[in-house]
Amino acid sequence: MFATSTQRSFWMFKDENDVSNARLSANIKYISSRGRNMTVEEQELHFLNVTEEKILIMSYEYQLRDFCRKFLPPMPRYVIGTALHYLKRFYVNNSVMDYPPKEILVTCVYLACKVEEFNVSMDQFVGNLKGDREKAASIILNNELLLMQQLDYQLTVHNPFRPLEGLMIDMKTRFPTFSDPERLRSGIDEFLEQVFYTDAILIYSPSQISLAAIIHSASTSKENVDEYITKILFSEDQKRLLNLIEAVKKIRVMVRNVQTPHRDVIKALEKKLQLCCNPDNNSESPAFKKRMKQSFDDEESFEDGQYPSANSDQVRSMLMGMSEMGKI
Amino acid sequence: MDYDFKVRTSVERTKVEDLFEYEGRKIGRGTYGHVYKAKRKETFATSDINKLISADQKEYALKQIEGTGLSMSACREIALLRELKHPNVINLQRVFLSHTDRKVWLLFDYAEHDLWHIIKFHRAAKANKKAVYTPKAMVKSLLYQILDGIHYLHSNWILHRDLKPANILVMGEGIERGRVKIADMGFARLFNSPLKPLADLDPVVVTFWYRAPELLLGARHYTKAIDIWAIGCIFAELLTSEPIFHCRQEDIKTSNPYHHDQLDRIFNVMGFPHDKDWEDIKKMPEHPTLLKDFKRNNYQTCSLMKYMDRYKIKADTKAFHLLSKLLMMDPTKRFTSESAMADPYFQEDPLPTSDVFAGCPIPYPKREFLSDEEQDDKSDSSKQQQQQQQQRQHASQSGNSNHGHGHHPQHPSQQGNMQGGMHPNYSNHPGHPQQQSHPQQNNSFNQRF
Repeated sequence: MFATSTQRSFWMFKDENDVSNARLSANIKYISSRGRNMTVEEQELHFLNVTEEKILIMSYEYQLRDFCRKFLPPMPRYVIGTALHYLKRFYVNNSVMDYPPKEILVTCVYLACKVEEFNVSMDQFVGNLKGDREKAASIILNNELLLMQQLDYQLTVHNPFRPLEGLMIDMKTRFPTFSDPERLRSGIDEFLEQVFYTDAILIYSPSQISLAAIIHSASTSKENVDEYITKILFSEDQKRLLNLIEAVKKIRVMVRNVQTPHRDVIKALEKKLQLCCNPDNNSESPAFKKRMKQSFDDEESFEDGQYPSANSDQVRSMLMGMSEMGKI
Repeated sequence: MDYDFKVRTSVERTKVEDLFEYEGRKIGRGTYGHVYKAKRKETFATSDINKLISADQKEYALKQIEGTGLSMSACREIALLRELKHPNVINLQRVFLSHTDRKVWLLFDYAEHDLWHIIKFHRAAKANKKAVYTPKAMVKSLLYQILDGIHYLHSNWILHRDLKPANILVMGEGIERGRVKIADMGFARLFNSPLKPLADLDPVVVTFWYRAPELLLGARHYTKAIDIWAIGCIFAELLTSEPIFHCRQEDIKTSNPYHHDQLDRIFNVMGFPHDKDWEDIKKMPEHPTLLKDFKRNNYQTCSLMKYMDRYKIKADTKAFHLLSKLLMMDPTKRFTSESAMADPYFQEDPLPTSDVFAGCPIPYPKREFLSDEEQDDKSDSSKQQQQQQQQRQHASQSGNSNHGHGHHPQHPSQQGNMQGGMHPNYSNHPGHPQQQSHPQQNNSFNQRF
């Protein structure tokens, strides 16, 4: 039930400012730790600022979706939705500079598959990746626990797809003057796809988002569902109606403002990221490998063969291969 | 403080072995992993936990999930438990991850008892012709709280799917004394996706004795009614201390939901359903097989009334009436948790109590610690169980058969004779005649326990 869910209690922000502030403090925390010997100017030059981080995160959201779309067997969209929620939640409290986003994003998808009971084996899963699959598997397993911890084990996600189906059925039964609501479907789907690139999913409830999608789709196809909203859904509750109108307005603005980041911009930011990312958490850095090796030498019974000897080129090619599949 | 240092210390602080004492305190094991009775360690350097130490002499159940990493069933368990909060549903306190060996630990409140042990205790007492003194309303209180917990799960669109006595825990001495806790949600799932054929995901989920007839006939969807059937089975078992649909377990074919012997057992107790009692039975995928394999005439003398009468549960009691509503063959006619909780049985004296022991001394022994050697000693007798486990693992893919956090030995040899029944009602008329055990019950009964 959404009303009592951890999503509502712990992963809903007041507004866009609230989300931005969380990201900002993650950004500042990282910079003040890694750049403590730098001047402010040096820091600004060396590190990504929060706006740049946000652009990068968005590009990973696109990559995530492209990866999932091409996934075999075909992945239900609520798995994709849950994975996108995980990615967003992870980088609300962490800097992209701190944890390598390409690794985190595949891990988000992997975890979402399990939580949503989309039953794929690890072999099947990494079969969808290019490059060294064994390494990919070990990267995922290595990040899985970290991801769960960062999500505070709150893994149940409420996506807008289910309330949408409820609303569609409700419209068909209680709002028969509106002929064939299914006509709105393609507009709705398009809207719901876009909404995942915004922070709306961290601010508004799944049912508000699905209602926004219906209203948006209706208005773009010159239809009107106002009567359904005012006379049927919220006929007795003026306050909730006003709330909803306000929410829908804001969600639509957020979706309208979605700007696909430009390829060149991403490239430049990626380059910058390579220089300012945390070597301790970056599987391609010597510091990381050294640390990993140490911890494995201590542990005899380590089964999953992490990446102590990971060939960094292989890892990179695997992850790059993934982004090349994207359309960015 | 240095940020990196902060991170390092916070990681160190969350190591389960630094925070909890559990070595040599194992209380359960199985394919799901190991369960320990854990206590907080005394010494902490950091101030934020300091507050807890002085007060916290509480006991916890610490479950180490088997294997490395997270099976789908472990993920599901964590995802569901994190959302749940109800007095009759086990509460997940904390998760520990050990990054070096990829072990996952779940911390729960410790429950001293469970229905598997409680029923076993009564059965043993009955075999030895000893009376057990328990409050008159105990079975009623247990059932009410089970229903309450399941009602909460069901209204949150969660199915348990594996209800059985071992998964119904009961709190021992302490502030929650005598409170039921439903545990082991590993197989539970949200079912707010009604069109998803749930049977595709886990071919076999519910333990056969507690499986509803529609599942055995190949139903493609799990429903609330399936959990209710299992509760009916548990209710009957509480009243009689015998599993009502006990059945030999050797020839379980996990890939196939259809299970001839289990159905035969159900018909032997309930009688063969008439078409008018269960109209949709014709639509069941295995209905043709049913017609081919079974003859109505063979069960003409069977009825739940007769079966329960053998245990001195009369048909005119409210207990029997409620039981018959929970054990409706037609799932659409079965009670819901809500209607069951509103049943007159619960309004009639003796009324249910929130401490199921009603303040009386608890007659059941505390959980014993298991030694690791014990396991090795039993390796011979456990061969068959291993096979069964493997089958189940194979079937469920995720490999997590689950149990309550008590010790549910998979080894039959140690259990001795359990053929006697306990006194019906758990009431205590010392002179009550011993029940005849029915013919199906023989050594194979031990097999399961």
